[in-house]
Amino acid sequence: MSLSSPTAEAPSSASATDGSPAAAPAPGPPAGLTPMRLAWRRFRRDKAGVAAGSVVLLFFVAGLGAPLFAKLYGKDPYTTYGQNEPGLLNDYGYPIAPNGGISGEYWLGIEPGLGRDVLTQLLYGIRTSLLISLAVVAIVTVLGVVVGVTAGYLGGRTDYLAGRVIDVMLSFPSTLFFIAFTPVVTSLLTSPGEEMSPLLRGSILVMVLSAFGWAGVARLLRGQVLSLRSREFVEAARASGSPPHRIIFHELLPNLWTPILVTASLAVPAYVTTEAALSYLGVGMVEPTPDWGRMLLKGAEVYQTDITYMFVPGISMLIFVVAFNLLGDSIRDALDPKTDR
Amino acid sequence: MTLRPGQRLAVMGAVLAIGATACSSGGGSTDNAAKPGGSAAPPAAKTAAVRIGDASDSTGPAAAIPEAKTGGTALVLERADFNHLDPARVYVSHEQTVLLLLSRQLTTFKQVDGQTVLVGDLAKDTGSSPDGGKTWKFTLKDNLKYEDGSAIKAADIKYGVERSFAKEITGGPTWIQEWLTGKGADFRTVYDGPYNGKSYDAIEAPDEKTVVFKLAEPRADFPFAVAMHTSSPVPREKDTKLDFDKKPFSSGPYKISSRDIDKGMVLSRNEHWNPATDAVRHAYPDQWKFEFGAQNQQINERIIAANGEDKNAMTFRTAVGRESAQKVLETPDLKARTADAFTPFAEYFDINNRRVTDLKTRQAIVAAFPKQQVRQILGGPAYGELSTTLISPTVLGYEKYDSVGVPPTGDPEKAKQILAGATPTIVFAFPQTPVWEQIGVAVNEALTKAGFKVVAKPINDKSYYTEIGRTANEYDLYWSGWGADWPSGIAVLPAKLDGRKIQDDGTNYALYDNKAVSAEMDKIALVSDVVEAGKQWAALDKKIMTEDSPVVPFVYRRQLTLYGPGLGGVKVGFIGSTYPTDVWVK
Amino acid sequence: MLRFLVRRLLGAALILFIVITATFFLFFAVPDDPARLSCGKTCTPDTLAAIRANLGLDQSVPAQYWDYLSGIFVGRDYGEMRCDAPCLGYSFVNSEPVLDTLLDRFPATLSLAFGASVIFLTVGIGVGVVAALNRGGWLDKTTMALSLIGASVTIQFLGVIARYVFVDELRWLPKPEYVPLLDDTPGWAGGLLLPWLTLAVVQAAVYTRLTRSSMVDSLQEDYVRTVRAKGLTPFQVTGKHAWRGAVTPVLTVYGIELGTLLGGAVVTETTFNIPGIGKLAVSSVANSDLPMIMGVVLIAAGAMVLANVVVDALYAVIDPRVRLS
Repeated sequence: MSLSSPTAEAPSSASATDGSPAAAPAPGPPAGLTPMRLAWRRFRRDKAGVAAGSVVLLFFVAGLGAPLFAKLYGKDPYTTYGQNEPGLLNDYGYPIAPNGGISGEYWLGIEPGLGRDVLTQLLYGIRTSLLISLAVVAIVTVLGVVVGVTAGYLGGRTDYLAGRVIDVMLSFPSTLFFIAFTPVVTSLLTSPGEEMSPLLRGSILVMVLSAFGWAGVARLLRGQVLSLRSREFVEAARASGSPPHRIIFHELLPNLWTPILVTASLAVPAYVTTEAALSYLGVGMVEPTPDWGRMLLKGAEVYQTDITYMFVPGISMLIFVVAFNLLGDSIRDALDPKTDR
Repeated sequence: MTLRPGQRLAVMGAVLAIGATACSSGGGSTDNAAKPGGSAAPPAAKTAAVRIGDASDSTGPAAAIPEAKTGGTALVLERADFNHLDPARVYVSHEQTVLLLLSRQLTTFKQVDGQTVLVGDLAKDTGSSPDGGKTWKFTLKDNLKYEDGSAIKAADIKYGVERSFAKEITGGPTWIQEWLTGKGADFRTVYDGPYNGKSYDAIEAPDEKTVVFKLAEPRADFPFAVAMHTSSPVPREKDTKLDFDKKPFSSGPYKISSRDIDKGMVLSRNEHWNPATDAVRHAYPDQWKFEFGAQNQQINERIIAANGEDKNAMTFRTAVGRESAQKVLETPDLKARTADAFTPFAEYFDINNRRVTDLKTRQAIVAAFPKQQVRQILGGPAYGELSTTLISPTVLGYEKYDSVGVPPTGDPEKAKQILAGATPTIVFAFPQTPVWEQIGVAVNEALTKAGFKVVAKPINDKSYYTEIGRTANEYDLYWSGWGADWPSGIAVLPAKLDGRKIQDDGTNYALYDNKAVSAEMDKIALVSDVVEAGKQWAALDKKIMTEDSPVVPFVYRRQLTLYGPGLGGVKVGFIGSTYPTDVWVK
Repeated sequence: MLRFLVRRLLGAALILFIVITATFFLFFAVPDDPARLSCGKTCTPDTLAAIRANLGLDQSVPAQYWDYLSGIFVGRDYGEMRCDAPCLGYSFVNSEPVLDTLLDRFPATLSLAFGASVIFLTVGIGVGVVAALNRGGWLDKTTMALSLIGASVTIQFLGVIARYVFVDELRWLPKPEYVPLLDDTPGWAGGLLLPWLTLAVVQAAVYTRLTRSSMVDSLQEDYVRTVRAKGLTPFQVTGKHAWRGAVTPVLTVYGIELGTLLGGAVVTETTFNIPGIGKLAVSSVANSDLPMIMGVVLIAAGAMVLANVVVDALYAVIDPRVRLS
């Protein structure tokens, strides 16, 4: 690996947080034709990876199964229990019971002010975060791969043009753009007297977040393709007259799975944090859609009186992001045994 | 991979463990309110606490405060600098408050044993009218001086009011201009200020001590209107027009000694101000220092910490926010350092009467509205007292009534009954901020329970008032606040609910138009006895709510501000901000 | 070297131009009328028209764009007021010159970025080097685990918790606030300490991981092995040779990060209420204050592009294998 090439590009360019989470070092060089089964076997031997994978899976199940769980638990994230039942919130709107109102009835307490159930809010919040970040990662990855591979393979003018566009995209102050554009797009798509559906709002967030994220992926892939292109097997395929799509799909892509998968897996937690940051800054999902970023925002406001409310989303998110980052590392190790970490 | 049940518990266990070790002790019990000292209950709202004083009430000096002493520097912390300091241009309460130090008016308000009394300030008394309120005559006190030692003359008051007609001089109240000309908002068609050399005949200054106003129609409230800063004296040769706004020529107990816009300002004593002429202002500190730019929460944290010169800090308008209200009110040391009173501000949820034309629907909204829940989100009792009337307890003639008789949490069953099976759609508009989004949730839940279909519509925070102020707005229910300029029904009801005042950017946000009610307003406005008028305003208030239910009365606002341990005499004043007039440095 | 720099700077200017153009046209999609907003409560149609004319909002969008661009280079006139080059216009909200506001806010952002950088680079690189030399040992494993957690925590959470514990409860650290350096130097450092540390925890973790992995790679490079074979100790190898290869990726990431930080650490500034560029960005977006948004975008993009040029130039100085082209 040539250290001077700028492929040491972590997916952090997507991050709207000041500290780029998950900015792990670059994925290793393409590993040649490694069967997925081998990688899976290696992954299963990695204890930390399996543990992290289990936690991640648990979050997926918890998020996607939130409605089912809510039914069993007998609460939902929308009812304002604290306002409806006296004895839960005091005059100032804070939970009366200690530790944020944690009790046998409300396992993680109740929200100050509105008095909603924190546990179901958290679970539904996972769902919101996951759906948005997975959608963004899917779009960003597909777009980045298409642009990166095309530019790298075709070279010449196309490559130059794509390179400059990527440069410009990466020079945009993306954080600023997220907070600036979300309201603009939102106001373009609604009229007064109309309530925006959570689905539409979520889609807007996905759109805005995807607008910049693909550039980092494209740059990484372009670099990989450039170095692959001069390899013997590609030269050979080209000399033997294989059509471009065959070269791309049969020769190049199989060698690109490793960087693609690693980038994608590390991008998920980055976008979860980014989405939370946007909500924290007031341009993400709005009430009543449960959302981690908004829980953190509220937590930051009430922390002097009810610090528990800050801990619940904060710690959950920390566990999730750590697990996902660990998983990303393990996936890389599994796919690319030569890297030494 | 299959999921083992233990895994989920492990994650939750971690969260719970941290939650249990490092965290909050809980909000405490509900019966706190019953305990003295730990009380969240606001001071009781007094009724009809307004009186018109006589010449003896108006005579200075202001009664000395027993332990108060002269000297020292008091510090005022505000989030933003004052937009206006020109007495003809101020309107916002904290700007009016700082002008208490820099300017004097014909009349002003004084607090005597918790009662608001209108007294003469520059004038010897609150004015007299020989003809039932059409002509008003004020006689000035002796020994009134500006900051340069020159005498304050009647002609300066005439000039001060005249310049408020000029088209450059915007932003201030327009009561006097409208009443003099009788042309409403078009007063400039009659007279457009002194800058083109014209003077206005309706204001006369026959000698150095007398000023006479000739109104178009009788106005019993005129003595209240001249308590606003429009009646401040401005000598013609000192009028710097637009620059007057940056550095007004002082007639009050202090003058501006330095000003760095948006950063700070220092006021020093006006040595020529004579305390014997002033029945209200004490002017104990030698100096007032202002600092601008901190956030509200920071200001409160600084005053709580009270380090260094923050020991002598106060704030005119930074209320204790919902994030720290509980801490402040339940910590005796801090509670002792709060100024706490009701303000003339009342808040409503206006119903758009042009869209919601069915009376039953409006009554059902009033019955179902979750006032208490909404107030809880805004900070609970520290925010204000839940209301059922249009005019507030600080207003002359206020009388308590309840037009629907539902608990403060709202009564969905009763609302359902009123609706009788109908399911109207209500568009609830609110500023797009985290707090209001939560209020949106609470209102949505309560109205939905009562059978309404609710559309929650957040509006850009900055353009909120512009949006709901459009007469063609497409919302059904939205919040608005109103502060009476003086404690009389005329400063509330006609502004808020006179159908003839419906216009874009007007203040009749409910777009309520009832000809009979407007006619009644005109009638009461002409009643020459303010006490009798007060009774009639209160009766009209009740009639409007009972017969038309055009708005949901929400709260009478409470002002709770902190001050440093080094200050004494800090109180919430009539305008609804914390007053500097009695403050002294320990 | 000179030719390289000139070319890169020209490229940077072009990128800035594209960014500013895109921002300008995209924001004209905002339906809020800025004249209306600055007109306030007592707004008459006359005043509104006057404000519109004064702000140039009565002209077509391309004409406004041209005014804006030419204002940057030759200044422009607003009614009777002259705004000298480089003119970034006046705020729609408080009529202050945008440039003045930016210059007023920038020291806070710079202070935050500077102090945090010192801490996270020192700690991050230091710990990373130690971990790399200690590869496989318990020290390595512990620091890697900690840095994983550090890299995964969010500023808004860590900041509030740290504040609660260290400022409110234990009173070990002063209350976070921004005091200008020249007004009160101890106050400046004290007030920024918690924001610096919070930002540094999150950032240092990234650099620890990055430094460690590139050091590990670097230590395996042929030339390092060669000098090692000549009998140098690991520390000598690191001090003299290996760091060169290892520092390049760190520099790359730091270049981008510094650009981002100088454009305003939005979440950190919001969490700790530091009146820098990031907070300005949030408030001007909330106010639809177009000239201010443009100014903030310009400064943020400028910082980003410039940081990249500097990083590229530094490559050449540090890593002998890099050829400037």
